[in-house]
Amino acid sequence: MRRVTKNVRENRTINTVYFNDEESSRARPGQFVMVWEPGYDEFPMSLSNYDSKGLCSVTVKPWGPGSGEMVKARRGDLIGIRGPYGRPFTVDKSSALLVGGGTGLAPLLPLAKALVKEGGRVAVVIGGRSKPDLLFEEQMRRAVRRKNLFITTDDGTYGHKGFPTDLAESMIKERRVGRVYTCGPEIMMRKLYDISVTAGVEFEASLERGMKCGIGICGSCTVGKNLLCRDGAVLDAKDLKDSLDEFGVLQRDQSGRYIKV
Amino acid sequence: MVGPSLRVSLAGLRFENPLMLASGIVGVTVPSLTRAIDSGAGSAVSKSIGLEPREGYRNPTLVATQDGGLLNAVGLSNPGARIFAEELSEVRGRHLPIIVSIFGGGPVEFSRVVDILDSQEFLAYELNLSCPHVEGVGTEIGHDPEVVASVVKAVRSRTKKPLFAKLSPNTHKIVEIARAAVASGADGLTAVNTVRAMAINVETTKPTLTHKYGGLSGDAIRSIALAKIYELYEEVKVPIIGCGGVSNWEHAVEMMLAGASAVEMGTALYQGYGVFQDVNRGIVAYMRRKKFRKVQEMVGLGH
Repeated sequence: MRRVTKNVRENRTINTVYFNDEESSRARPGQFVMVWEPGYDEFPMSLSNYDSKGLCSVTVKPWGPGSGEMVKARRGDLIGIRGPYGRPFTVDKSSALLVGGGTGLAPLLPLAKALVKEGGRVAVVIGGRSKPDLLFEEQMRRAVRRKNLFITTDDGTYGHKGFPTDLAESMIKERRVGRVYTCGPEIMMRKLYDISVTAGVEFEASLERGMKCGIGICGSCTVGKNLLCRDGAVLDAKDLKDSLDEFGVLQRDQSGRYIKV
Repeated sequence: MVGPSLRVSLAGLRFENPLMLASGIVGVTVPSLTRAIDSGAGSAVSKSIGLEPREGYRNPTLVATQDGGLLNAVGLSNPGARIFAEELSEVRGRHLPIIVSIFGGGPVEFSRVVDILDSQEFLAYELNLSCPHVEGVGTEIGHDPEVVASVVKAVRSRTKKPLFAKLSPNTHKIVEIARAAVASGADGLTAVNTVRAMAINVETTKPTLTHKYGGLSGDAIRSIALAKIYELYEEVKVPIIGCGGVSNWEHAVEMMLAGASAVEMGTALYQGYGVFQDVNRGIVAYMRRKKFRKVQEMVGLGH
């Protein structure tokens, strides 16, 4: 078990909960941990921070019994951490466009830092419904050059008015983008997949599904033939090609029945 | 010279090799079952299907134990027979070696599940008579020879497909139960299901699993499974499918020597789907070294 070291309010719904965990601090961008909130739930979360001193974090929006409890976490609370698990994002010198919506910014923050460190060109689009829904604007501003950070809000209360996909599409057309990385609402990610494949740009997305084991046993987290816990949570265009009837369309509930994403 | 053959036949079924995906592991969807087969499993058993959809228990539903085991109380989550039948209808004509595991609260419920599924294209049923962590549909059924007989008889009367009765290791009456299943029409036995077990977290001071009790699988139970298979082989004449803690070729061969005609793998999938190819290769190398031409030559050689 790990102890919560701090809980930081990020915006009106999202909190970042910090803890010390040596194994997680050796994670790579896009990897996730199974977080256990004793008495409530165990659920997968992308690591939003990890440093060489062992300080790690997950960034949580309340949506179920476990995450609902976790946003209320206080310094000293016990939580269980298993992992890090899963296939990370590709980190190389390709010209990168990162597009995130909501808590989807969580895995993109360590990715942006790693890509900049690698020496590639990195642009970031942060999307949100409205200004108070934006996440990690400050952190991303510290991670990438000011001129490479773009904000969109659906209602136009801040940054560009419109969807992050619209801005991303025009950027893909105007700039040399080597690879699109995304995490956020699946419908947004599917749209970006279609745009990227049409434009001949590489594509990687971090998806989310209900998980029980996190280690390739239970089969709850399938997207087509992919087991998200092992083949993902980052899937590339090749992985997704045979799963387009599910990606951005359908997911399975805890019983295995299809429901809309 | 022709190399050793991995082909096996049991209960009138023919498989490319003796390895099977065990029930409850990844196989809740047809794409996952297909992937196991494409990755080298001779056949794949679905997650247990019941009459109605079940969400299962809240997480934590799985925990790795310090004795090399995996403890689970997933709670028979499944989409229900009707939806699973629909999903199976999509692979009609592809002749996939799929076996469907089913569970129920008694002969009537088992029969209704069979009635819904039976027209679909799959090879056989595995009757889950032994889930150690769901009340009313697990060991209450599988630990009572009379109830086992009534379930097998009921299912037998509804289908022509072969039936494998999956037995619980959590009873001293396993031979008696196996005999009851065979006398009632089971074509084979799967031995064994998980061992009823528990883990307690010393920090929270409470059982780790939400359901408290679970079923143990993996390395920790292999020797237990082996003894049950060995015992059953001496007592019953139908083929036995071995199950419990097999994760490499040596384990698989050991089970066949004890009397298993085929071997299921489940927890081993933490190594990835590639584990089927690895184990198959290992078995072939062993057969070549020991000059076995057919898998059948090894079955029961330990007696």
